[in-house]
Amino acid sequence: MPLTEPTLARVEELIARYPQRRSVLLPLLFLIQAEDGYVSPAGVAQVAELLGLTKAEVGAVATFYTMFRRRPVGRYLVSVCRTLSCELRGSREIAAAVAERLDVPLGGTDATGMVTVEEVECLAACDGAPVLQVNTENYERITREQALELVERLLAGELPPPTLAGDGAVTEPSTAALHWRLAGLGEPPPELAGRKPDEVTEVPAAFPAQPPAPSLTEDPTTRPVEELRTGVDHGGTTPEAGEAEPPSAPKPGEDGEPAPVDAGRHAAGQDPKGREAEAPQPESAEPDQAMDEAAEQAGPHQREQPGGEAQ
Amino acid sequence: MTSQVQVLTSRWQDGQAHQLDRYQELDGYASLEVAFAESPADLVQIVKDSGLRGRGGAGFPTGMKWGFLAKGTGKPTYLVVNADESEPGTFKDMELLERDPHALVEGVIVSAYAIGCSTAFIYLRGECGFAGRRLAAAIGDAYERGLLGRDVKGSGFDLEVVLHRGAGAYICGEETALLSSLEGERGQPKLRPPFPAVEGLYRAPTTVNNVETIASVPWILRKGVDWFRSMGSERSPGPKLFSVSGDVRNPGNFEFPLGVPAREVIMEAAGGMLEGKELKAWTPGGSSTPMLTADHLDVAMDFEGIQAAGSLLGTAAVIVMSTDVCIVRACLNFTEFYAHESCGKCTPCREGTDWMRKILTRLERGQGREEDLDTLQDICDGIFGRSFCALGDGATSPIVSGLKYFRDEFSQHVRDHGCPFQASPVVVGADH
Repeated sequence: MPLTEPTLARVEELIARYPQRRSVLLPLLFLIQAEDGYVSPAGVAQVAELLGLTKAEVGAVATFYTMFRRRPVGRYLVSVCRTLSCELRGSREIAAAVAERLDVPLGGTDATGMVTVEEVECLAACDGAPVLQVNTENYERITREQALELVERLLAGELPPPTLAGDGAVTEPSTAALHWRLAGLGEPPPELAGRKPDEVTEVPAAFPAQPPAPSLTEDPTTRPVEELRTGVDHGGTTPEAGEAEPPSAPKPGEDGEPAPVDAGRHAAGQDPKGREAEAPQPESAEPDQAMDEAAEQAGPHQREQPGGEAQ
Repeated sequence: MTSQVQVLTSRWQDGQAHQLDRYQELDGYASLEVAFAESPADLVQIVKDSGLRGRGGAGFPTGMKWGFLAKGTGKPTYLVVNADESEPGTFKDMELLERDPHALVEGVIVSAYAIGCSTAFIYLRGECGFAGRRLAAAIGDAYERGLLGRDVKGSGFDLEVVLHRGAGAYICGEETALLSSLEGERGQPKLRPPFPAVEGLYRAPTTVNNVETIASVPWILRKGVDWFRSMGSERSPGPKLFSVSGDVRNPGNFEFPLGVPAREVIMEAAGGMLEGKELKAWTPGGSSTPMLTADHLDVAMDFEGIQAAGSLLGTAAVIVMSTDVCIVRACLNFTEFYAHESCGKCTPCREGTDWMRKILTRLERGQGREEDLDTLQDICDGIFGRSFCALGDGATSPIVSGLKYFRDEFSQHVRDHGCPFQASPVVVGADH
């Protein structure tokens, strides 16, 4: 079980804060992440049992929020803002450079398990654009060179001070410690400070539908429109239906084929954001099918939102 | 001569105001005495009289919102503070929490007392480490000093405050989605009615208020309605935080009375345009509000003034774009945001944002067609007013306003088979 006795005792403290037990679901998922580095199948099962929910219900919630991760996250999570004020200052290049240095696609973790890099949406620090976070602490007005230097230090296990260090800001020493704090239990236990996943490449997929993050060179959002027209990313639908042109898209059945505008997209892989699809279905069906059930229950939307690692 | 004021920002430069002792030296928690001397009903009336309008984007009158709270339901009444600041361009609440976290705690105490709430929740964005540390410490200190918990300062009033972290979802800034999230559900909005004031958190009467709104309440109690109304306009009174970012010399948060001309915010407080750059477009209230242009610099930045100019004050987050910025790419950037953040509950928003993202991508890549412009407008018409919550409406703002003011720039992408702004720091879709 991911949560052991001493932590479970603290869980009671969390539960007591809320008028209804289920409100601790997000905090509990953070605790699972603190322990396992991601929302693990065993963690989903444990949370479900603690709260009297089904694993599907827990999985449906876990997949909705970008901060709940489907694969183990490195000791340091480098999040680069991609929204306009930061993009105008070159943040996209910074994210790409960091990913290239780590030799991973955006959303990936370097082979040593030290650093995960991702692009994220507006971090509410636009005056400091471009903004990069390490474990949710801001490094503002950062240049490409500074970002790369920061990453070298992180890979070496050093943690340079954040921009507002002079004001008292402190970067969390590990994502495990960060996730503990986000659960709302105060100061993280010291043993979480240095935690990182040992193996980042071969872990059981908690979310079987999760694909490998898109590679830098094959980001589907950047493919030429011809490819969009070929229907490559729309799977079984007709090329016309796959176009980004809803008003003129053929009605289902019009051309002899059922062609719901977007229906085949996910199934065929190549989700525009590259988050799902073409996920190698786990060879050995994971003993715990919580996430599958979650997908069933949550309906088709759940695949749209969970986002996170690829973004 | 600037019209900047220092109310909510008055303690920001102090450097130590996050510490309870220092905060109290600076008159912190002085509003408790005022509040506890009044009846809760009178406090609600004071906030109504002040004309305070919600600072989270919609601008709904706060006192009226409190007045809607159902009475005699046999259920508790909840105050939920929306600290899930994530509207692109907005960074006021986080700086407030970093520099002056007790201002929110004080506001929560007097507001909770006013509405008869004994358990308040603060839903804080998960990705903001420093603000989270500061706020958690402030709440802890307030408990230790008897400002929270049983019998607050000997008033007989009990108040528990729970700090709850979000887990990454823009939609949770929408109040019904926020409440769903707080209940341990997926953060998806709910149909209203019933409004949260009748059936909110745990189906009990609930008010959801923004950080800046709640932090404004102690000032109104301490300094009075007339003082508050001496700033701003009749229908949009009081001081307001403006977040300015983008192509300006001095981006940051600035506090002005509502109604300040945009020119003063952008060209004076924020230092004007970066060297050699010229103003092209700006959002008055984050990416969800229609862009305005250099022709709108004399617009009064209050709810009515901005609306008259065809946009919305929103969170007063001014993102400034220079003539070097490609509007198509700016629209694409925002649209990628909405496509990512759409919760998927309703079809117009879920599908529409993704269609728009695809069309803008191909326009930016030079593979668009002239009719794409009308298609974009059509999709926006199909989303606006037809989506479940305001996220869908917001997603149409950049595109509709982009087409309105810069239609030819969209056409140029078609005619030239590419983006005319090669100087852009990053070419969208560039292969690395």
